[in-house]
Amino acid sequence: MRKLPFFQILCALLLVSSLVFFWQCIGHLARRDYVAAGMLTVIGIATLWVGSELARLSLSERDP
Amino acid sequence: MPLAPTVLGINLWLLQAVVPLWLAQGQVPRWLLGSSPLPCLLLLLGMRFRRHLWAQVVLLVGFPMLLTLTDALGSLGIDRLSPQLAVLLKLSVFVGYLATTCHLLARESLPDDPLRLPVASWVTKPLDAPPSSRKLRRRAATHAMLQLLCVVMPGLLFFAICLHKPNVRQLLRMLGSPAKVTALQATLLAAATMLWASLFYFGVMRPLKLHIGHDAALRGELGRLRQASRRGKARPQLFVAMAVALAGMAALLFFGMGL
Repeated sequence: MRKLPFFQILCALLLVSSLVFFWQCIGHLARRDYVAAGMLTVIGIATLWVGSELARLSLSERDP
Repeated sequence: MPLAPTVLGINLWLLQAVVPLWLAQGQVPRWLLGSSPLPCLLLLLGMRFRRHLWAQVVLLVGFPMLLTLTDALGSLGIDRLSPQLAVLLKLSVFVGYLATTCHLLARESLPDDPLRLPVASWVTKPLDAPPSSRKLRRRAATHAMLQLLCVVMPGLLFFAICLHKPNVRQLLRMLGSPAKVTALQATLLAAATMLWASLFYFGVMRPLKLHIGHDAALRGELGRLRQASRRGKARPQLFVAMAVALAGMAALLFFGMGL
């Protein structure tokens, strides 16, 4: 049975979700809610960072 | 006959042989007096046949050695005949004689020596240079552009600050007097020069220099990064980013700014 690439799926989800955060950030900016927009930007960047780290881990697992 | 070596040689002969013998008249044997013209004759003979090897040996070795005959035989033995100043004078004339003779002999060498042909008679043929590579042409073009930039940009700044009439008029209108305008122009020129030099060094020359040196530091850093990325172990950044994301989301929920 073929192993499911959990790490790859997870990091793809994280990268997509970071885009959702950025999209929401633009919406808050349009409503002039700058505090929420800033927090969403920070969350988006942190999510992107977690996704990239997981991608690196998945690659290092695949090619040891 | 060449003037300088001959005159210096004769002077040396006079100083070294004739004058001491003349001063010590009556105390030297006759044969020594008789042999005193010998160095001068040897000098003239060497100068006349200076294109031959034996004559060159005579000029550089034989003549100076024969001049020391008077002292070497020790027949004078009078200290007042060789005061310190005279020794200094003899030494300087001797050095001058050797220098001019060597220069003369180096200039006029054997006629069949191909290296001594006049430059006008040389035939030069350009070698077929291999076509330069694309990389080399690109690099040469880059260097030419950099040189052009080094001339154009400072020239443009100079023109804009000092020569462009609307700018100068505007400065005069702002400051009121030409003296103040001149001072401001000097300050602006100095600032622009410093800024341009710094930008050119840090933005262009330093990267170019590092690139020509094959970016040793950058390659080392890349190697270290590659090693670090190959480790299958989570770095602290992962946990920090997770904590930041979770804390941010909790703060959003807490302050009622939910998605």
